[in-house]
Amino acid sequence: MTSHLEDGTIHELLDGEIPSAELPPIQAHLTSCADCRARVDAARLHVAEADELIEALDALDAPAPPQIVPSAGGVRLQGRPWMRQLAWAASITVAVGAGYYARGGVPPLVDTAPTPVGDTTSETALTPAPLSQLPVGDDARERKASDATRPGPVPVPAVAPSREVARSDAPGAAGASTKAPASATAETRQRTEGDFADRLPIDRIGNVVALQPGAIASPTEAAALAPAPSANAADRLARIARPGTAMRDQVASKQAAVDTISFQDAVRLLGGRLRLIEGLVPVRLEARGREVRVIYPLAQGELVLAQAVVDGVPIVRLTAPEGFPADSLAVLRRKVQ
Amino acid sequence: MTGPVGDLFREYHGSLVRMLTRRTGDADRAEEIAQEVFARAVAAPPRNPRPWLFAVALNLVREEGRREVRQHRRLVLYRAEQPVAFESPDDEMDRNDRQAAVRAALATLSERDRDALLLKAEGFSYDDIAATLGLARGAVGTTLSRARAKLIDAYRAVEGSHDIAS
Repeated sequence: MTSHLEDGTIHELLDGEIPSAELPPIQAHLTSCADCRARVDAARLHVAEADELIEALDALDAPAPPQIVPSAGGVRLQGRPWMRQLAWAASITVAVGAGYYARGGVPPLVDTAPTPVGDTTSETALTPAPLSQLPVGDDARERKASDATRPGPVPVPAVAPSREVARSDAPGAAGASTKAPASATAETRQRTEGDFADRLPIDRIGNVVALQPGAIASPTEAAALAPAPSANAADRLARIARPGTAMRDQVASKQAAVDTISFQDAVRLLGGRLRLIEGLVPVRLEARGREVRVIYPLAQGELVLAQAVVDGVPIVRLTAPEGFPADSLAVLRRKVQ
Repeated sequence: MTGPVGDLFREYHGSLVRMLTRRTGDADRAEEIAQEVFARAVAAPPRNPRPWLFAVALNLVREEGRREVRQHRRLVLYRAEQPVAFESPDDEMDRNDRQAAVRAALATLSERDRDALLLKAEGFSYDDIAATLGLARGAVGTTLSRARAKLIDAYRAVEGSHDIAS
C-alpha cells in the first residue's frame, strides 16, 4: 500500500472494524508512513473526545448502560411514569394473546380493586388507563404508521397495533375506591407496623440492611436473611389501643381485601427479587394476585411501591398520595433498588 | 411472541431510551417514543430487531422534529426536565452548560452524521449502523470520521463563543 490511508479507513481501524485479513497492508503502511501514524493518533483523540461529548449529554437520571440482565433480576424500570409501566404491561398483555382474563386470573398490574386502606389518590393513579388514552397514543394515532415504521433498508411490516384491546373494563375502576377514615388508616398502619418491623432485618439507624442492591438473590437466601417473626409480635399488636367496634369492623373488612404478606413470601412471589426504596423502611407488604405492594407511611397517606413480574419482565411503579411533591417522587424513584 | 418481545425489551430498551434522550434532549419524550417503538414491535416483530428498533425510533424523532408545535413543547419539557440532583449549584451549572454546548454542537451536524454518532455510542457495529441508516457499509467510517470532526469543531466554537461572551 503506497497511498495514504483515508480518514474513513483510519476510523474503521480505530473502531476495530477492519477485518483481520485486511489489516497487514494497513499496518505495513503505518510502519513506513509517519504522516498516517500522526493522523491515526489525531483521530484516536477525536474518537475519544467525541465519545466524551456524547456521554456528556446524559442527565444524571439517564438510563444505565445496556446490560444483559438475568431473568430473575430483570430490567429496572424505575424513574418512569407509572402510566408507561401500565402501557408496557398492556402491550405485553396484547402480545400474549391469551390475557389474564382468559385464564381467569387477575392481571398483576392492572389492579382496579379499591384500596383497602389509605389515600384514594394512590388507587386512582393505579387504575389502568386504556392504551388509547395513554400519552403516546394520542400522538401515535396521528402519525401514519407506515411512514414511521419504514426504517430505510430494514424491511418493516405494516403496523396497526390494536390498542383498544387494553384492559380498562375491570370492575371497580377509578372512583370505586373507598376512602378509609384517617384514623382507620393510621390505626391499620400501627397494627401492622410492629408485625412487619419484626420480620425485617433493620440496623440501628433504621435501614433495611439485608435489602441492599443485589443482596437478595433467591427466596432461599432471602429467607435466610430475614429473621423469623418474633414471638412478641402478637403481644405488641395486642398492646395497641383498640378501636371502637365499628371502626374495628371497618378495618377488618378492609384488611380482608388484600393479604398482608411476609418478606419471604413477597420475594417468592416476585421470583427472587423484591425492590425497595433505599433508606426507607416499609410498614407492611401486601399481595394482590401476583402483584406485591410495599407500603411506606407518609404524613398524608401512603407511598406504594407496586411490583410484579409479567412474563419475565419486572414491572415496578411508585405512587404517592395527592399533594406529594413530584420532584420528591422522582428522587424516590431513583432510589428504588 | 411475548418471550421474544420481552427479550427485546430487556436487551434494547435502556440503550434505545438513552440514544433517544441524547437525540431529543427530552427524557420523557424519549420514553414515549421508545414505548411507541416497542408497541410496534409487539404488533409486528422485526426480523433484525436492533437496527429496526433504532431506525423506527429515529424516524419517529424526525417526524416529530418536523412539527413546530411539538418542537416547542419539547423545548419547554426539556427546560422542565433538568434533572433533580444533589449537587452543588456550580457543578450543576457547569454540567448544564456543557450539555447545552454539546447539544448545540450536535445540532449543527447533518441528521445522518448525528445519528451515526449516536448509534456508534450505543455500541452499534458498522454493519448495524449501515443497516439502520441505509448507508453503504463502506461509507460508515467516512461518515463517522466527518461527524466526529464536525462535532468537536462545533463544540469548540460554541465554547469559544461562550468564553468571549463571558
